[in-house]
Amino acid sequence: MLKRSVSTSDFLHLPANLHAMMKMGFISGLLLGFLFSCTEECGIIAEPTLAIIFPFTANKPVFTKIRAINGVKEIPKEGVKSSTIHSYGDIYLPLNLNADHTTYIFEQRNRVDTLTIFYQKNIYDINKKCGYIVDLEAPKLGNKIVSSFKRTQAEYYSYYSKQKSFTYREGGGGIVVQINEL
Amino acid sequence: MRLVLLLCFFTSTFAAIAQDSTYRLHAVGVDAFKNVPFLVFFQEKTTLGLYTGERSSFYNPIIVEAYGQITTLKPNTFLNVGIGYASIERQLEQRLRQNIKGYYLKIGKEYHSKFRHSIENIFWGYNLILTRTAVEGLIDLQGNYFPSYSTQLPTDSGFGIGGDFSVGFSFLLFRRLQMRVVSRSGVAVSKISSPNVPYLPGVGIRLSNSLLSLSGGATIQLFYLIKRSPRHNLSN
Repeated sequence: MLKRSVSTSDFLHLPANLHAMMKMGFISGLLLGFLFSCTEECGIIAEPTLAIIFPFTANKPVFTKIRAINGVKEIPKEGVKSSTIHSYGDIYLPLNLNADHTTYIFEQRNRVDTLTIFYQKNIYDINKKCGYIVDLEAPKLGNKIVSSFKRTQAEYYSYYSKQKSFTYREGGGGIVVQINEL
Repeated sequence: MRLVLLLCFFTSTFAAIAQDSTYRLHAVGVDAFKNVPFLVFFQEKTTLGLYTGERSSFYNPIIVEAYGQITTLKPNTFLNVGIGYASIERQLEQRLRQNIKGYYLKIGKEYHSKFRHSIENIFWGYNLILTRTAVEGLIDLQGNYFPSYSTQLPTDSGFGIGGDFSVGFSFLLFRRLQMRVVSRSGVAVSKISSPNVPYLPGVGIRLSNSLLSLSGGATIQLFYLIKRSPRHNLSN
């Protein structure tokens, strides 16, 4: 008796090449999923930055100069980097790892403001992939932020990040300061 | 240029003429060639491993192995004992500097083919490797707008155990000086894996940071064949 093997393409009445394409798509999906699940950024790998956000759309401040206390170089008035897909900031400013706080002086045409952000450095042996990493966290005691801006708020996210799924990435944002009112 | 020099080195050594066919009972040898791949290929940052895609470079390698090869009662079978010291520095991206150093002991058996006695030989064997490794680390972040930051990490140390299978060929360079080209593949079990220690003394570069990892490589050894003892007659 002759036996005919029945493949899924026969069963679903799909053309053979479509079946092969589906198979390839499935394998590629699995592979991509695996790659995404393995993607990690190992914390601070260069001078870390602080993201500053102005959550209002109108009358955003225009700084003429930004300086950092104990800085060795002038900070560009537009900040040191731009937003990425993983983190948003109107301005990114460098943080001093040699101290537990960084103070900035913001100069506008008729106004000068200061902002000091406090943090605590921690070193973790996070896993066998990244090994030891440096991360910045909220100070256990004392102020998080001191500023001449009227209403400010600081959030601390890990600088270490890991892709948890296709759409969700955990951590990586770093310290974010929201200036709600000038 | 470096590749050309390496090729010249290979060519000149292979052109050497064997001058003695002294049959040997024992041999002593050294391997300092293991430094060469690090000096030639790993000075520039290279991605090793599949996990984070971080690139690292190796520099200042000091890897020295000394061997003793003792004949056994079985013909063409030798007992190998090797001791070694390795010290190497590694820079991982811009964030981590490591100094990996350790001692190791290799014990194994080697089987030689019979053709042309010690003038030319093909051999194969296996080794058990015991290693003691210490890793000193330094987080070193280059500053741009502030001074650079660096901090010492806790020293990580421990034992590792491994095994390897080797195959190679040897030929006489001059009198009783023998050159051996050895290729090896092995496996190691070591908890020394944090933070990202891809090099394990005695085992070499590992393919992963997991407890169980694979390794492999090739090297060149120089052996001095010790003349047969007058009290033994090999024909018996």
